[in-house]
Amino acid sequence: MSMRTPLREPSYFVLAALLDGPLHGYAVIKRVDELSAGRVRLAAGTLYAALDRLAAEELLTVVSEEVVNGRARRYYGLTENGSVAVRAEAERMAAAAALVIKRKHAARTVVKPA
Amino acid sequence: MTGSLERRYRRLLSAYPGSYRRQRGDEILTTLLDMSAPGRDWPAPREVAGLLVGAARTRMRINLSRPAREVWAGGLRLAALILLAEACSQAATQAGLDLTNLSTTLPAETAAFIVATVLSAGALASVASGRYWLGCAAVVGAGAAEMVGSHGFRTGPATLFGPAQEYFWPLASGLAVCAALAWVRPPTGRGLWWLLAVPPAAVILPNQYDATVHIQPYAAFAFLAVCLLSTVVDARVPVAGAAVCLSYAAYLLYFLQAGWFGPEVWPAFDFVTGLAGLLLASIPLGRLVLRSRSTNAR
Repeated sequence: MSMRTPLREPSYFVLAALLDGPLHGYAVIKRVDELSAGRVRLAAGTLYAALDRLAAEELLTVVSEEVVNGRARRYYGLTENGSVAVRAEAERMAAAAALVIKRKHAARTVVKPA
Repeated sequence: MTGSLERRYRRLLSAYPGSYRRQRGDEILTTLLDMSAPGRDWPAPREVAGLLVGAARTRMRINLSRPAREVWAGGLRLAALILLAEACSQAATQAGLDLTNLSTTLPAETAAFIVATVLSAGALASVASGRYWLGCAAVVGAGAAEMVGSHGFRTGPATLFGPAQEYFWPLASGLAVCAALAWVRPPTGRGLWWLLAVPPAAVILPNQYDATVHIQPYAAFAFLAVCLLSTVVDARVPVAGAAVCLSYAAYLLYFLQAGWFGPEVWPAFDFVTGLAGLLLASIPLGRLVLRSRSTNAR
């Protein structure tokens, strides 16, 4: 896969929320809230801006539409590219985290100011 | 109170572009209502902020993908609407001033300004609904009525409807842009809603300084600054702002050239004819350049 810009946090969590299968807008917001332990709370405007951007990048797509109690719902699902992108981002972040965590107990090199 | 909450969210969704709203508005509204706590009748502040930021981002995205021709045509249409709103507000303000001074104003002249108000409102509504030739005819009628309102039939038309008259430039510029629109024919948007722009135009746009002198210069400055800042969300707005500015600049330029050479050396209508000729010449010249480019590209 070609090098791509790191995903923004809302985009990362939206893609991660869809790993288990297609969800509609409100369900994505709830799933992101669960996955991030309440740290990432998406507003509807933020969610749809992220969905538009990710759909334009072909990382997700609308898989079905339905009307429930007179209200429109669209279900979004990951594309093959989206699945690859979110896993690649997770690996990138894990590698970056490992860089620090592995050195936690290593001897510190103290640099004295000149 | 879902009804009032839904109504308020719908109002907020109007910040999104119309095409996007038609496609996604109901879906976003469903999500917003699903998220709201039972009994709530006002939108949550974070949802309001999210919608406004989301709407600005959507406008920016659509703005970047809009073809140059659409930006140009849409900007011209907006310019015509602003100029005609200004012309209408100018005629209405004059009619209002005359009505409050009936002892010193002839009833026929007051009536002429009322007719000019109605005709320029008609021109505004015609352009808003895409009937550009009808708009041109109404602008000419409004100009004639203002001519009668200002001078009756006392002198010849060259001095009656000249560039020194304050109502000349919004109407003349509006007519020129209207005629260009009849050729370009951009898609139309909201029709009669544009009539609501007339009262604010009386305060915001430079006309009838006697009536709103304390606010108007600042409001006009703010209006043009907003036109410039709108570039990121809608490139049609600064195009319209520039066209409106040209109308004011032409007015100033007329007085400057009259001061340099004196009206007797370079009569007023020669200046206007020259300017109109230059603008008209730019249209076939532009077409010629475009045609030669497309021929070379083959």
